[in-house]
Amino acid sequence: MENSTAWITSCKLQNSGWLVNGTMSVPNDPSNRDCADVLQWIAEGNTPAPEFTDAEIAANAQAETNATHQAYLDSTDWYVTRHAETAEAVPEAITLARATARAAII
Amino acid sequence: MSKARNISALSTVEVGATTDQTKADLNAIGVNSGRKNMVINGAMKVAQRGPSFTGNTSGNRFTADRFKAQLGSAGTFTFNNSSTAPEGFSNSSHMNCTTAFSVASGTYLLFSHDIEGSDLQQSAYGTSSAKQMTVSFWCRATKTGSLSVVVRQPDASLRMFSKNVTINTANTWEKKSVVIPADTGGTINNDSGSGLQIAWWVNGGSTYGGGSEQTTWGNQTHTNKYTGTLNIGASTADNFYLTGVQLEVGSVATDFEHRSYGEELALCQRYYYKVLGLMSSQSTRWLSGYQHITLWHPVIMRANPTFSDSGGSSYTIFAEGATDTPSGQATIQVSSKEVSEVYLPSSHAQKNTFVRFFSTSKFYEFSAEL
Repeated sequence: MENSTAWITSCKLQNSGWLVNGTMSVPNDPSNRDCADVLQWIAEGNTPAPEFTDAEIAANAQAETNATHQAYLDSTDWYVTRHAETAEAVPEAITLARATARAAII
Repeated sequence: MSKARNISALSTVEVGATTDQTKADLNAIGVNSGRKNMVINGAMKVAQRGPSFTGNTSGNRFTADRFKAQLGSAGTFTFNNSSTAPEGFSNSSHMNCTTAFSVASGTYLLFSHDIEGSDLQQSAYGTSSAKQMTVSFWCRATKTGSLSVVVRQPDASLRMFSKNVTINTANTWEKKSVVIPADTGGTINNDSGSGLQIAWWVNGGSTYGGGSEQTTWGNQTHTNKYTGTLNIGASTADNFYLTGVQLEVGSVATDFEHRSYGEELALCQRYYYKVLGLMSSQSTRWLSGYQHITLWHPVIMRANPTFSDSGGSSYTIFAEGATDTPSGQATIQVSSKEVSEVYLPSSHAQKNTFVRFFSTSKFYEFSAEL
C-alpha cells in the first residue's frame, strides 16, 4: 500500500532527522521510505517534539560542566601529590581554581 | 536446417505467442539469458528479519528480504520464511491464518516486491521500444481459487496492470507466469526509487475488489486489484506460499535463475542489514555521556538508512580493564549510504574504548527499503 503514517506513534527531532517511536533514527533523506512517511505525517498537521526538553538541556549542560571541571582536577592532581610527597606548596591560584572546580561538579 | 531450428528442437518449454520464434526458443532454453532475473531474493533464501512473525493483525512484515506481507486489519496471521518449497528450492514466503475474518471494505492481504528503477531500464518503458516482461513464480495454497497479480509503476502515478492466476490443486506447488505487456506510455525513472511493484493479492475488500482484471496498462483502479476467488483468511485452515519469483524481459517464463546465498545476501543488504549477535567495534568518547561508534555498511545502501536498536543493555563498553553498560538505546548522529555514526549513551569517562554485544539476540538494523 502507499505511504502510511499509522505506524508513527511518537516523533521528535534528532540531529538532522527524527527519532521515531523511541527506537528508530530516521534520516532526513526523502528517498528513505521512513522519511517519506515522517514528512507525510508532518504534512498531515503533526509536529515533531523538540530534540531535548528543558530538563534534558539543563542535564546535558551540567554533564558538560562536570566533565570540564573533572578534567581540570585530573590535570592538576599532580600538585597535590607533589605536596604530599615533598611538602612543596600547591600554588594558591591552583588551590582556588580546584576549589571552584569541585564546587561546580554536581 | 539452421542453427536456430536445431535449438528450437532442443526446447522442451512451450513457447507462448511471439513473433520471434527463434528468440523465444533461445530464451526458453536459457541461451543469452545472462542476468535475466530482475527480482532480488526470488528464492526467499535470505530472511534477515524473521524467520517468523506471529499474531499479526495489521501492518507489514518481511517474510524474506525484499518480500513483504501486507495485512490490512483482517484476522490474525503468522507470516514466516518457510522451508516448505517446491523441488529445486529450499524456502518460501508463507502466510498462515490463525484467526479467520469476514472481509470488510478496506481489508487487504498480499505479498509485494519492489524493484529499483535503475534495475529495470532494459524494459525501455515509456519509449517506442518498450518490451514485454514476464513474471513467473511458484505458489501453493490450501485451497483452489485465483489470486491477482498486480503490477504498478510508482513513477507513473501508480499506473497499473492486473491479471488473475488460478491455483488448480490444493496443497500442491504450481508454477505460474504472467506476461506483462510493454508500456510505451509508462515511466520507470533511472534512479534508486521504486520503478515497479509486483503484488500477489490473495484477499481484499470492496475498496480493492469488485472490478475486473486490468490486462492493459492504465491508471490505477483500486477495485481492479483483487478480483480473485482465493480469499485466504476466510478459514483458519488457510495457508499460502510463494517462492521462485522471477521477472525477465520477454514473453516466455524461462527457468529460474538461481544465485548463491552470499550473492543474494549482498544484493539484499543494499536495502537492509542487521548487525546481530557478536558485534565488536572500537568506540570513542565524544561529548560527555556518549560513546561514538563508526559502522561502515557492508555494501553501499540504496538511501541513507533508518537505524534501529533492538533495545536492552546486552552490550558492554570496555576500557583499560573497566567496563560499563550503556545507559540507553543507541541512536544515529550522522548517516549516509556508506557509513553511519552511532551514539551510545554512556557515562564512561575513558576516551578510547571498544563496544561488544554479549547477547546473541542483540542487534542493530539499518533499513533503506523501497
